[in-house]
Amino acid sequence: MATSGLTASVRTKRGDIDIDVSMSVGSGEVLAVLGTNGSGKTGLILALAGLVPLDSGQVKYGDRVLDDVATGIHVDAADRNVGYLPQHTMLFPHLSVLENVAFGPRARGVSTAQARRDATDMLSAAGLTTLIKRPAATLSGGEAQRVALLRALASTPDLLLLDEPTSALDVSARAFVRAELVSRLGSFAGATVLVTHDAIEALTLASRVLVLDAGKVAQEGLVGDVVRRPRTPFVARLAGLTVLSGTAHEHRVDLDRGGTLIVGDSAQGRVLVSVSPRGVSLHRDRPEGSARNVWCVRVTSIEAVGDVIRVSFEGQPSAAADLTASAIAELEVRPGMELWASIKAAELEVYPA
Amino acid sequence: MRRIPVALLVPAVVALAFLTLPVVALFTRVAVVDLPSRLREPLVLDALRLSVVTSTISTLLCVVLGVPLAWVIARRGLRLRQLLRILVVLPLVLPPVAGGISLLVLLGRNGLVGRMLASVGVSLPFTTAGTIVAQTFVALPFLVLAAEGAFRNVDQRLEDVAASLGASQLRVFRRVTVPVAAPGIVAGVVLAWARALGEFGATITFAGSLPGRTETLPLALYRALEQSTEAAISVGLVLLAFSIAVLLLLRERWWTLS
Repeated sequence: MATSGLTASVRTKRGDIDIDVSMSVGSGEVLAVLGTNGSGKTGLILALAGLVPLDSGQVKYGDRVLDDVATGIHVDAADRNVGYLPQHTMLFPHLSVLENVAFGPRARGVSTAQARRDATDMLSAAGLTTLIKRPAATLSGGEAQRVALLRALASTPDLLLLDEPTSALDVSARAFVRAELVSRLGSFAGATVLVTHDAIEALTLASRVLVLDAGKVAQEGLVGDVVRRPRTPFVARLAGLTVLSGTAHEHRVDLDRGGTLIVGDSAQGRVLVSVSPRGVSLHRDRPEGSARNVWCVRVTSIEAVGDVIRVSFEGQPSAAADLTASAIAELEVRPGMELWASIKAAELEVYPA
Repeated sequence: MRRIPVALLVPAVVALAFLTLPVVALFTRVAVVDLPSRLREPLVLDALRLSVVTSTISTLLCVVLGVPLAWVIARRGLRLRQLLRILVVLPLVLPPVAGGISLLVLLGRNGLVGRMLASVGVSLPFTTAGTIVAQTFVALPFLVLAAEGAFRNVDQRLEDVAASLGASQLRVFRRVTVPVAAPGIVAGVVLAWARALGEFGATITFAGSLPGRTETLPLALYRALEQSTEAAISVGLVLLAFSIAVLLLLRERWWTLS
């Protein structure tokens, strides 16, 4: 077991979700907890922060026990040295930016003058000098979130808990705050738990991911592995992929729900195949190109996902394709339309079920 | 702005007239220029001074006792919260004279607590301190209800963040919860102060009407009415002018609340 960083087994109830999670995060490591709304993500964060009690389990940071239901140990949130960044920022609206950042150190006994000096230095170093005197209530979403991050970091916490740090922001502020998070988390010495429903956020900020579904761990591993090789349709959906189960005979996979795919890597026996919508092309006529997999499909829905348009279709197999707006216009794609789908064998991830 | 439906406009105008016309009528009977000379009458001056002192002290007492109670109620579960709220509202629905009688029963010389107070040489009935007790009794519910509402509107997550930043519960209360709830608490303070200033029934029952000691402006007003309407009107004007002055002083904090 790791003796540095966070080790936790958390069982608690949040609304009608039973949360039951074991996890560990090393010092300097960022673990993303990926899940939809109602998966228990926020409840898990609050339990780690000491803000909701555990029904059973244990939370340790290094050798320090923060929670142990069996022996009745519970360290209050105020004494945990945790930096908590809740969803929707939650800056103290009645205080200036400076007082917000200085709040933690002052609560932990640093003198007012010293805390203000440190907060001023921190804000200046982050390029936020112009905000120092502003009332927190007057900041834009992106500014507020950057200040909130500094506030969480100002008392040099052991453990940083981030709850959907960019979900409430508009697109341009999101990119900005994400860049700030990348640099801050890169130099942060403690353990970070990042809760998000956004697979991109997990990919850009975390090294490991834990997928939470209805309070339980659905999958855990290195971010790249989890998003390329989702084990359940739930994880695949979060990662924006389609996952298909089947039986492999070297390069051919017979899919359980009909259809056959030719894959680049040779495999044998029960396998999962993940299909990225970026690898799938759509055509009006049967394509003559080099793609090894070509099949007939019917369009079921068309929706914008970021800056591409995702066309979902049914067929053998059913999957989705990401197209540019001009491609959509050229193909004149409509729901119910019949098209040809193609994907190269090398674009398919195949891995043991 | 869109037109107000007649069915709403008519009662709204009637309500506004009903509230303002009596006050306007008061001014039509006495020349406002007379006010300074009226103020110099010892009867009025003593009563005004007593009212200012007692209503201010009782409002402070309301804040010291009521704000913590409001916080306790706001942070309980639904069932307990409803029960506590009923207990707080009780003095509000009680006729003030009945409130004064119950204060006598509890704090009078032979009362449950009064006897204990008497044994250490403290007697509240028919004293200035008794006036303050009566005013606090009737004003406290207003402050508690307003502050409780204000506390319940403070986002729990602000308090969570403050706690995670190392703040003790008391520090969270002082540095986050109270400042964020402040506009609502100030509204409660104004209501409590207005109620204490206008207090009549509980005061006259529990503290009597001793000029200079327990005769506040409303009591002086009632005694003046027994002598002459003119005298009563001028005392009423003093009370009104004082109330308006205080409300104007507080307008930045209260009237601008959207």
